[in-house]
Amino acid sequence: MIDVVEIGVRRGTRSVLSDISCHLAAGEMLGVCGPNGAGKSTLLRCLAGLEKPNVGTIQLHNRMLAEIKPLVRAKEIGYLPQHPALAWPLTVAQVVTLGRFPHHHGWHSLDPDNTAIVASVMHDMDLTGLAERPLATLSGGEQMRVHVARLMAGQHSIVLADEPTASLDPRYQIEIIEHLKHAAGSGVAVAVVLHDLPLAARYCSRILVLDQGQIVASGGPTEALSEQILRQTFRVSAVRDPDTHGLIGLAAG
Amino acid sequence: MNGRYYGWLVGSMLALGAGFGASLLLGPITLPWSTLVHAATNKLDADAIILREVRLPRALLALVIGSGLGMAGAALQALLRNPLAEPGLIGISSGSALGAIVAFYSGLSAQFALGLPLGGLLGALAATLILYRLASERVGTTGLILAGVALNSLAGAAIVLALNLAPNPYAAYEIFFWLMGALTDRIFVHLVLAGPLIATGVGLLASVAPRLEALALGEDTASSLGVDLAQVRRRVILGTALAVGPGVAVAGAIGFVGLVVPHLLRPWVSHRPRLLLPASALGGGALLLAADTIARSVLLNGELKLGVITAFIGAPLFLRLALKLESDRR
Repeated sequence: MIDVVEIGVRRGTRSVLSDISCHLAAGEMLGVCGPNGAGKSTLLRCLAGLEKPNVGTIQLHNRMLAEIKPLVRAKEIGYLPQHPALAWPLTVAQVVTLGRFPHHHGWHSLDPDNTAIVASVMHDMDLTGLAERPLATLSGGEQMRVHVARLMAGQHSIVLADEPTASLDPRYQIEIIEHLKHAAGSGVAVAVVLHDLPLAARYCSRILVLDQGQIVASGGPTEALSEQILRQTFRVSAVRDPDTHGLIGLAAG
Repeated sequence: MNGRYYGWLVGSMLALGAGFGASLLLGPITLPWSTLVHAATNKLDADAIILREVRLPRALLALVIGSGLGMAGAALQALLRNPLAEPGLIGISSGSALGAIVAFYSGLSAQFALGLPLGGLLGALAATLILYRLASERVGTTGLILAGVALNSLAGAAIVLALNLAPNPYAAYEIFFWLMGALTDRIFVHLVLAGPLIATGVGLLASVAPRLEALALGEDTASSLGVDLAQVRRRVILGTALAVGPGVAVAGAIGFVGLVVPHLLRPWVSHRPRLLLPASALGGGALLLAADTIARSVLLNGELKLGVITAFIGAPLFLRLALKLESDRR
């Protein structure tokens, strides 16, 4: 779906990303991991078409991403930024409805098809009872659930989420990532930036490890989050399940 | 939701029409309502002439300038996601004021009557072009606000310099009073000069109103939802210059309309720019019409300045809003 070939991003003289090649396929859940400042958010912004790489190409369905009209791109790719903002005291229903913006952006009011999609997403994500509440009156975890619902309401074929689980308590971390995993299960290509490595290892089908703007590892969780990568890139060591060998915790380097 | 909204909109327009008629009759001399009929039938009595030649252009200018100010305020606030954003804030009003003062000093305004308004228009355009250039490069919202603050300070300093250099006390007096904003003695020529430009600006702003909705979620999310941010920014800035600049040129810097009106109307339209922009255009026209009627009616020996009334309404609200935003942040 998305093919990235040797992209690089520079800010002034500083290189943020260099020589990145990767792809994102339908139905997979790609975890993007790496220490702070590794370029994870920049990579996601490039994939979303919000930032143009200085070198290299990004293709969506074999078309150059930069040449696709914004509204056409928006129907395909959904993006959730690291700190979702809300300028006005909108209600939960209003925020989720904005997810339909690529399909509905004129003067007319929401048509029955779009209304039904919004209602079904709100129902699936258990937000129907909160529909008329101003978003700001909800807890942090509930707010993130609303932002994810907004993302899902777009019915994109590709979904990009930048640290959607950061600063949430464990219950909401798992809930949010289960929603993304569910989307991947129904054929959506999902890429998610995660700081929590055991969480990434458990839920992602493939993991990309970035360090200082470069890909240092890529593959299945066990392969990408190998002992060596954990030590060199993250300066921690692994605590693994003795039976499945899955990553269940981290310990000091 | 929308049906009720359009109902309100039509109701407000009817109320505004009635207010418009009433405002024509109110002033230093209260005219009987039959004057409306006399004026409409071109009857040549003194009252009908006052209504037609003095009050009608004034009332129409109040509506047009007010709607430009109200809509520009609503659009800027949606773009910058800040309820304090006002045409004055991004430097367009003061740019326009400076342009008019330059016209005054160069003697242009002495040579022909429209020199002052034309100077003001060019000043607004200059301020807008600077902002336009900034907006087409990749600066964020904060950058735009800071650019506006810098432009305001610069224009303000130049205006004070002009006051310092005033050749006679009368010139400084003239500038001072023009800056306060008023519609006294404005005639149809002013309406012909400012009206079409303001209408173009209002149209340009209306064309981006639906896209401003998505900006509630921030610039990145709005972009990802398919909003061409650079285009929206350019249209809002150009539309604001057109909707505000000619008004400042014709009637001086009338402040706070673009702050007060969207603020009062926002809760009524569920904070949605698509609905807020047209409502603010109507509300701005109504506010300026009411303020101008008060300005010419309350004092027996002369007139209040229009800008004085809007500032007395707007400045306390601005202060309250600013303090509330600050306490919300903590």
